[in-house]
Amino acid sequence: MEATTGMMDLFGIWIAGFLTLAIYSFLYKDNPAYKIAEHIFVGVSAGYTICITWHNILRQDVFQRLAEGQWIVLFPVAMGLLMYTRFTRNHAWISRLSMAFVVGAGAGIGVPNTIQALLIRHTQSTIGPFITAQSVSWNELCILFGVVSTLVYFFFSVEHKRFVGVISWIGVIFLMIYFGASFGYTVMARVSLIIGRMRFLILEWLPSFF
Amino acid sequence: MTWDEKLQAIDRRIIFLLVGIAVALPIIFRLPIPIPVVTPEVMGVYERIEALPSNAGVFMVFDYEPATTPELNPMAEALLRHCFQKNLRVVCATLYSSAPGIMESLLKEVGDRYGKKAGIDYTLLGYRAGGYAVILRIVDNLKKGFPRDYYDNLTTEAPVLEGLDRLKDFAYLMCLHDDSTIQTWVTYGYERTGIPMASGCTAVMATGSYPLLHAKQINGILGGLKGAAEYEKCLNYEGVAHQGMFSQSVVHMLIIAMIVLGNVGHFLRHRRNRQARS
Repeated sequence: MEATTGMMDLFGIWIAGFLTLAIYSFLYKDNPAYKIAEHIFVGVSAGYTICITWHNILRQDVFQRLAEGQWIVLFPVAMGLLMYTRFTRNHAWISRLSMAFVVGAGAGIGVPNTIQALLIRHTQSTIGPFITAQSVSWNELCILFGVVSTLVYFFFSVEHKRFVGVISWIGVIFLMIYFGASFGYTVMARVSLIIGRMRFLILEWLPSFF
Repeated sequence: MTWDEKLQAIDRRIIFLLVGIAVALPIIFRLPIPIPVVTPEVMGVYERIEALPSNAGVFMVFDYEPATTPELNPMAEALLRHCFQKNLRVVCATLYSSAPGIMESLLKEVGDRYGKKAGIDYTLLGYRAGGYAVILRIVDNLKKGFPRDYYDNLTTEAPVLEGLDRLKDFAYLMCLHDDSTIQTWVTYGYERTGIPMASGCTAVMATGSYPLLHAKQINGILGGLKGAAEYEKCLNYEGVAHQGMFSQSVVHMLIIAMIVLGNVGHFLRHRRNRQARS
């Protein structure tokens, strides 16, 4: 049994190693090995999604609940099925009922919560220290100035000349710093991914041959 | 072809090769690199977990896909180690359909190392579809939001969930994410319960988490492999993140050198064109 498990692990490592190299071979140029790996990825992803949808959604949320007598589940199921009427030209309008429910419920729940959590809260944290007359640090001053100048840059109802032009220009500098920081972090993220693959190839895949 | 033209026309495959070598050499020779400073963002998470009493509940969200495991798995491992060292009850869930497999292998690996048992010391609730609707559900009732765990056991009968009936009952929520789901958890989880939260994210997402930190909606950020390496330093062990930081530094130096060379080539050509015009 242990030998079988060991062989399966080894087989898995070889397949993963081959697929990693096949994907990276695209860096040289497009080739059949890359295409094979790409198609396998698409197929496996679709298969996995089907399994997860069955086990975690349909079985658990629909069939098990119906078996327990929770008939209310039929309402969302019916709403979901109505979406498929889009495939017929004559009955496509029926799908708007489900669509209207999704959009209405989504907006009703989303808008107030998002405004509270991401707009009001962040505005409070930006101007709060200045209103409550707490000791204000350079960081807070910098954040406030950055927010105001960036907003001025995106304010197009006034021509960006003289004082407004200077503030808008400072807003551009803040934006550039943000883009630079984001790009730096993005480079770090991408390098981390190649480190992960390289660690696998060097520390797991290569030793599996010896 | 002049020097400036050569600098502007370096074959991208040479750059790929150089990056590959820069990443591989530190891994092959296992070169160490010191992590001199632990940033306040990372320390905030460490100190919060350190201050939790034994047996407190910690909710860990694994909202990431297999593609970003090299960045987020070392972070998740470090956080799980810390939780298990402190004998905290760990409850894991995800809003991503591709994450349960990642959670399962990681929880089993780290749990076995500390002698922790599934269902008693930790549990894997798995994936539920619905995004923010799931969060709203578990804010009120965790066991209705997740009636069964990943292994199909009833959550109402799980010893690990005793006294943990809704999100507010947890002492800490750690969201590991490679997308902006932290905002969803803050909007529908933190704002409705006030549960202390932390963000563990890919480096790409780190800049997006800082406004949440500034607004005190989260109390710490672990950003990318660097954040994970710093957390490993807090726990006094050198894990995967720490080992990857030398490669990270070498590649950064290489990229800086490439940017400088590219700019030198650009300005040399610019000067030559100007001279030719005059």
